[in-house]
Amino acid sequence: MIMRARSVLGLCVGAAFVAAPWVLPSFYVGILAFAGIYALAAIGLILLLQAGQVSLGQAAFMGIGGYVSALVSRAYGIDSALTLVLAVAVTAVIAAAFGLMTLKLRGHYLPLATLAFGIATSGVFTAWHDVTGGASGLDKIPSLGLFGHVITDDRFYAQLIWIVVLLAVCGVNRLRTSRVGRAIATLESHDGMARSFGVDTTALRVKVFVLSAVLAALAGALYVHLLRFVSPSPFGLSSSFKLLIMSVVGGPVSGAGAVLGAVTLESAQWGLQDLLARWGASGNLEVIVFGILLVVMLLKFPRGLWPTVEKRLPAPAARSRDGAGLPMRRPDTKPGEVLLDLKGIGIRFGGLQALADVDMVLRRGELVGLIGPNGAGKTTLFSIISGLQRQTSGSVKLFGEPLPRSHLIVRNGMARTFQHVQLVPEMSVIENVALGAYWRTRAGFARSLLALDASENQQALATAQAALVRVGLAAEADLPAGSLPLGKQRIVEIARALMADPQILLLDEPAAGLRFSEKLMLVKILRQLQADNVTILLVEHDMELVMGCVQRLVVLDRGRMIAEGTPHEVQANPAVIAAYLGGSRDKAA
Amino acid sequence: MTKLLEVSDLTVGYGNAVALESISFDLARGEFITFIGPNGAGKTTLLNCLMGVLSPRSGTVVFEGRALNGEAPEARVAKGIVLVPERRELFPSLSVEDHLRLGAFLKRRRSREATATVLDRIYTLLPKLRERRRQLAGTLSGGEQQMVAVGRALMSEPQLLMLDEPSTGLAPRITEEIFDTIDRLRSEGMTGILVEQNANLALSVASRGYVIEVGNVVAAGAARELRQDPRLMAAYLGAGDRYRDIAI
Amino acid sequence: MDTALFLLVDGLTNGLVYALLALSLVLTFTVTRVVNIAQGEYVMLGALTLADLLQGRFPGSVYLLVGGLALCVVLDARRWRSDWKGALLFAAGMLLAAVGAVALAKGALALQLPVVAMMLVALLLVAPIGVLIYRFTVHPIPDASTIVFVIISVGVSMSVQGLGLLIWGASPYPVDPVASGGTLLGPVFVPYQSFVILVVALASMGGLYLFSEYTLVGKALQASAMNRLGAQFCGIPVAKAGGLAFLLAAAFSAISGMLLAPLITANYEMGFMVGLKGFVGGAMGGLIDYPFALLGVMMVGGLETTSAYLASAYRDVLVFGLLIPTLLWRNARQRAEAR
Repeated sequence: MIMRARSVLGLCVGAAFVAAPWVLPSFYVGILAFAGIYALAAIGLILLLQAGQVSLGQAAFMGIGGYVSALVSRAYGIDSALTLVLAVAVTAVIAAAFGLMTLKLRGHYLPLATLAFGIATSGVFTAWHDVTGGASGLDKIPSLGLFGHVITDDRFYAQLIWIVVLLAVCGVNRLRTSRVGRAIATLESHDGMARSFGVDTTALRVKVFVLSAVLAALAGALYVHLLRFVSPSPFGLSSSFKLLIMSVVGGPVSGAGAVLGAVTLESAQWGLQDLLARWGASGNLEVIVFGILLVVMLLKFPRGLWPTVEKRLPAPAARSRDGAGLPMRRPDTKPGEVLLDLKGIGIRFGGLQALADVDMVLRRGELVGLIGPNGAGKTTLFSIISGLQRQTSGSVKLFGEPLPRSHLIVRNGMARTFQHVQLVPEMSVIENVALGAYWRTRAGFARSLLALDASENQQALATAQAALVRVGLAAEADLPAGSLPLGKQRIVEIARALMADPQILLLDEPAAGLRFSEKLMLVKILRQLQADNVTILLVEHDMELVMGCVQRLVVLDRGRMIAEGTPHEVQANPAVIAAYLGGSRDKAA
Repeated sequence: MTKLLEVSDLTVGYGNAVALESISFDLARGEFITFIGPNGAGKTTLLNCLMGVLSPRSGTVVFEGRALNGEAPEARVAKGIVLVPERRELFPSLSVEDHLRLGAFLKRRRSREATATVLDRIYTLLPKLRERRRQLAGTLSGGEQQMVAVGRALMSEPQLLMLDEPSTGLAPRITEEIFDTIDRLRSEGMTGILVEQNANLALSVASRGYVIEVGNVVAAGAARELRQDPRLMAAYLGAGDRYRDIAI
Repeated sequence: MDTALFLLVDGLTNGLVYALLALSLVLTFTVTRVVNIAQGEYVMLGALTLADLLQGRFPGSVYLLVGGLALCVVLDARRWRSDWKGALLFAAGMLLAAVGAVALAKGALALQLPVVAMMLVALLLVAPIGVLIYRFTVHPIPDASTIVFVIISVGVSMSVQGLGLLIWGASPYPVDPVASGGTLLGPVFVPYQSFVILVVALASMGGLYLFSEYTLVGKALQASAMNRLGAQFCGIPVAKAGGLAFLLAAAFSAISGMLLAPLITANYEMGFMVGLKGFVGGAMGGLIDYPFALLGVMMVGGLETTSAYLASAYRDVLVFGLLIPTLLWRNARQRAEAR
């Protein structure tokens, strides 16, 4: 394997961190060890931030891990290799329970819930005096033992911590370019889109939360065995805040950001304390600087320091996209068979009947347009078909079966695009497209973190590359999706939908906001898809485009179907003309 | 004749999308014009841009002889431009009269009598609001909410009234009522821009019309003539055939 | 029975103090969408400023105020090139405000004003700091996500607390109650300070109510909270409305601090915990619903005194543990309403 410059550099920096304890004076070894511990917990927080969540209680999970390992090893004298595992397991269970409970929280509710959890947990550490020793804590915690080898040398301990940190950084960075990582990137603001490609976003959120807590627990356990003393204060709110600042300052875009943030902040803290002490100031005055730093970073550099560093680094090695693609599904096709069958669809919102008695079928190989004036109910019908909304009456049958839950629809062979483009703007075009194959691939957290997903990922990327070639965007594969003009973004959406190997493609206003030249490109792609026997349902405002492409049209007005037929028939239909142009108003003199 | 509003080469986009492409038109005092066109044509974008909710990518807007340049909506209200937005944007737990008083927020230093006179004028124009003056906006019907939105906009005694799809979601009878009110305002000399999907309705009140289709003006002229214009039908029902013969 | 009554009075008193905070939080959140973790810091500033004034020291919050005003001028620097007249006028205004603040503090000390007047002076010195914080942290990014605002307010809380430590040091400042002694109400001894708290808290809340219901500016503030865009279409300057919300919120929290100061030890770190308790109450109303927020803080006050009596070590655990199910309920309710 040829190593790229980036990997070599990363390896060198990593080796420097691991080797540093040999050469540093013992005071700095301590700082380095603590920085490593905080970096580990901050990596967890960064993972969470990548999923669009924020925790103000990360230190509480450190505390749980720390206390479990400390109490068990102290009480039973068990080797801490085992107590570390136990600490991680207990924390994982608690985090899963908390995650499941709070997962539906949105906006400001989740940070508040984690804040409350953090305060309540550190309250328990203090109040449960009989077990935890209360505010004064517990001492005589055994040193870290690894299968009988007791680690008493702080230098060796610091090296061990940094090995763990570097493994975590590699794992989290690896995760970003994996199947799971692509799905995590959608969690912040594209929940519905992710589900339409088969991501069980609910489960994924809980898993991310647990993984984040597990990293904190590991950090907490390493912390107590390093100090050989445990008390509630390092696991309180201020530590949670500190971890948050490290993640934000370092940059919540990469695992390396956590290391950068932790090292910067820990050294700044010691440096400032030293400086302030020389000026005769007492107390934690460095928090002023940290607080201001946090505000300024968010106002001016919301992506943290890491992107600035990264710009100067050689480009990362792209993951391989050569070789064969994923196997395609080979349905036994009967031309003209009914794929999608809507009967008597109705939906009410409060007092408003948004749709009533809509009947519609989609046959194999057809390109059907769904049109109607503003407020006709097209978007509502579309979200019912794609399972994001449930009808109040009537039935939807997909391949003769009732419509499954939204994240399972894509497995049955239906994929869609979105009216408001739902790409992850920072992610590259090819990664965005590869998300479309989520349901066709299997690698989960464990395989991605341990780099056991290489061949499957290669297949997925090869398929994505082929899809991009098919729509004529191969040259843009490695650009961030957000940097493309809208026309191309919409085509990337089509490529992503094709990645799901669909038999039915739902296109939601693919031409909205496109220039004429871009529309021509779109029409060409539609024609080509039709030639490839893909069945398409198209919602579109641009009448000229719709009329020029489709074979059949369904017209909705005020929630009801008012016409159906070829473009010519529909254009001549008086009911359609009245619906669009409006009834005339009698002007009394 | 002095122009109240002159718009030239206005181009507006969202992110990478273009919603309006070099639109130019002008409006004299006392004129009432309409922009009609199918859903998604960019009509709402035009009004939002004139109101300062969106900033244009290029082009100029001159109001009363002075260029508008990135002023926030509230500053444009102060200059005499008001918008009755499509979604009405009311305050659900404030009363009808609160809405009207807030509509004159910038004129709050006006004397009590002057405010009462304006309020009375609005209540005469929209008598239903007088009956409902103490009712909370959230409990009103769609038509009444639309009337509150119109009344609120008029309270600042604007130079230019802009209405965005006033017929959206309303029953035909209520729509009729709203349009009677608009017609009355026009006949009293109000300058206005009406954006409407319902072309026949809009052309029955306005004197001039512009047909927009996907961001471009495709036809313009006197309302009477525009009603018969084949380009109007084409804009709504896609009679063009630029896409018909595109090969793979 | 007597114990229960005593706890009730105590809980009610605590609840009223937290109520002022919860009101501040709801006001700030509804108008600006900022979940202000730093709200409690104004409690600390209010309490310590009053302590300074009553004990004849120059109030430390003036340094904060003057520093903030200076920073405003610095941030306005770019305007000098395009509009030097406006910038000069602005700088002069800030200078005037700074001089005014110093004069006010010096004057109050020289005249040895009575307690109530000193409270008013403290209020005048602390409340504008809220506007300054708004100017520095929210005004530049009005459309940021709630999460960003949460993290920013954490930063504000840390720096203000650190500045508090720098100005006042770590030692506690005793503040004499406005009224000492108390009276027997039936079987329960009620300190006069509780009455003072009751009166001031009710008067402040009543004032806010009257302001929002009977003045056009108050209505405009409500309108900005309910529909930002709609408010702009009325010509209401929503950025200023945000500043006003921060001003009022800072004032209410400062009052709460001044009432609280005699009951607990006033020091630089008192604000954070008090702020969080106000939060628990405010969150009961999802930070959007005043009556529920009031109910929430009364529950927090009651729970706190009861648990302090029964299982004092678990007080915070109980209070904050309660918040999680409350948030779940609120969130579910809000989603149901959105549907």
